Amino acid sequence: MYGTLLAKFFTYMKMQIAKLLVKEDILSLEQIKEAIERKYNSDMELSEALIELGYITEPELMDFLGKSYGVPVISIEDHSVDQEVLELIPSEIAIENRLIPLSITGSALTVAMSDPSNLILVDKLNFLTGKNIIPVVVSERSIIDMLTQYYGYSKNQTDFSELSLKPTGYDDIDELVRELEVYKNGDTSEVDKGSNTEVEDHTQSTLTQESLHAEQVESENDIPLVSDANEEHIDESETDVIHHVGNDHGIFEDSETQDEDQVSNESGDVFSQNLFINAPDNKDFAEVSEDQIQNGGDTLEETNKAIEEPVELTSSSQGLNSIDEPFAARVEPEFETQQQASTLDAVDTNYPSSETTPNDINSNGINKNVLVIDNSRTVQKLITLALNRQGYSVSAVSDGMEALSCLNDVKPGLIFIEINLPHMDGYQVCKIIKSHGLMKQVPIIMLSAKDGLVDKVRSKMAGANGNISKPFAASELVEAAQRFTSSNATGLISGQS
Amino acid sequence: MKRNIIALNRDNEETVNQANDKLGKVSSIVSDEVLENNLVRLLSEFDQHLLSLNKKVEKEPYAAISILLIMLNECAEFTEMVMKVETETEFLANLANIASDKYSHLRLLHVRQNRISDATARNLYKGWTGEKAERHLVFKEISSGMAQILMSYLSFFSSSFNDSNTSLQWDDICEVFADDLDQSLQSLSY
Repeated sequence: MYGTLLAKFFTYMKMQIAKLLVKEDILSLEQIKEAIERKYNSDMELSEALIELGYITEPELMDFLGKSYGVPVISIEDHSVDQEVLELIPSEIAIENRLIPLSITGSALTVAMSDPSNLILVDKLNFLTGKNIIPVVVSERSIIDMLTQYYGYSKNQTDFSELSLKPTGYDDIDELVRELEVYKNGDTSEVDKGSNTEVEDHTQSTLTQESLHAEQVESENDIPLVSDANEEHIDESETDVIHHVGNDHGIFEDSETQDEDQVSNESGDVFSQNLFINAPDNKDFAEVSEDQIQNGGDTLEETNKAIEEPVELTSSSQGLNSIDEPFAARVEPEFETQQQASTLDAVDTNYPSSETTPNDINSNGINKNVLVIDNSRTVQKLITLALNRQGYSVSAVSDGMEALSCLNDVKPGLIFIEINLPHMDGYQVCKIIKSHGLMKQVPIIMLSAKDGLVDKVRSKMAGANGNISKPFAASELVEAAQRFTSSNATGLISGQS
Repeated sequence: MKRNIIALNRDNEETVNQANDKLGKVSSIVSDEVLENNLVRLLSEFDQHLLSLNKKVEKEPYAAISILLIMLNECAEFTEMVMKVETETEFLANLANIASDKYSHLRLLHVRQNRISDATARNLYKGWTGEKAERHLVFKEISSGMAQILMSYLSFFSSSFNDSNTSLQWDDICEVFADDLDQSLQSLSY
């Protein structure tokens, strides 16, 4: 269900720019159509195409976007950015997605971007940095200037397409324009009907990609991506879907409580800021049948309804659970290679130091890839040695940022995290990993000299599955690794709780 | 079987070769598995000591000496408890004696029953009546000497594995620790 919803959501958000421009009589349908054609012919953003065609100026568009998404529009011409802030986002990511981290206030990271509607990107940045992302709108020109100044960007920059965090857009221009025409004529029911067809392709693509990614991780880790208590899991995720983004006063009024705060945008629509993170619970994907995807029907209509009337999402979505034909099985052959899958969710190509290459799963179906996050080289070496002896493949990194950027590559079946880490502590790293749809099932063991009750409670609250106190013996590491990689590990280590 | 102390690096080579000569045969019946399990614990403990050393020394320079003494005494205990080397071997005294050829001020420390006395070192530091600059030089040399002894111990441990590959792997780990320790000690000001 979430794949469908995600696709619909993203499609919807992209539509809003065009729809609102038409609705406000800022642009005509013909102008939009021409810009869309330019967008696809020249591989540029819709906004860039509109400006290039001279239909709207950059300040006008910025003002429009700011008002439409309730995001501040700011000037960053004289703004200087601290190195510490810049380092939070790798240059490749910044350049590819045309964004600049501006400042940190507490746990909130203000990021300048030209397209605030790209909430998937916002979610990715949230995951990547461990910070609550506060997007602000700035001009494309200013961003490029700052990218040049701080990240050494040049117009002949290498193609970073594999690192792109941008989701795919429309494939069918005619469908989009038809929807706009219908919309302009005021027949919104036709828009929904039309968008079913449009979304069909996009949904298929998104579902295929995400199903593949989830399937891949599931098969490689031998860890079920959806818990056995599926109903309970769905309820939890559905609650997340009702979290909101964007309003007239800013995307997040209180960055500390963004997950809890519910705000609505101008149209009163409600979406999940964490949609991407929570989306890949693939049992839901598997429950969407091929017929439902291709022919529309009740399921998509209900999903449309969920988009338009998200308050009723829970009740609307119940019908999806009864669909039986596994969608993932149908789409699997389309994305068979790891390479194809890895590009879908790649955030960084920097590999961690590793004594051995991750070997995914062994013959017993156990994922023996272990990720160690500890800034002590000695500890990294000790754990690597101890676990290598037992056939584990260990990758070691020194901080949380490095860890988050290598998760997709390592595909760990178990993670050890030192509590005292630079940049963000082990609890934060643990929380972020546990909030990721594909990683939440991976057991995490906290390492620390702190073995007081409070620290153990904090570890548990962060989602850790166990604690090992330093100093540790090799046997403790091995015992924990065997226990937590064997199967469906959920409890705390004996004697460590 | 005979366990030879091997050198982790060239600076250490002379000391450990002399130690080999003086110590003669040191027998051990410990298995590689047991040794490794305990060595992981020891090194992870040393890693914690290193963290404390880095945190404390700015406010309390003597803490560095104190922490180094703790590590040396833990090594001495390790040789007795894990390696089953008898206390009478005076292993620590021998290593200190050898290292003092290069770091003469190590002779100011008191080694008794295979342990170094913290009280002696503390009294020496606290009761220093000469120039502070001189104290700095003396204790800098003492800490370097203690680091030398520590690395000799680690060399001994890593060379004690029956499997030569395991020994090499532990040499690698000990070198990493030695680098970190060296960096920490370089910034010390007594």
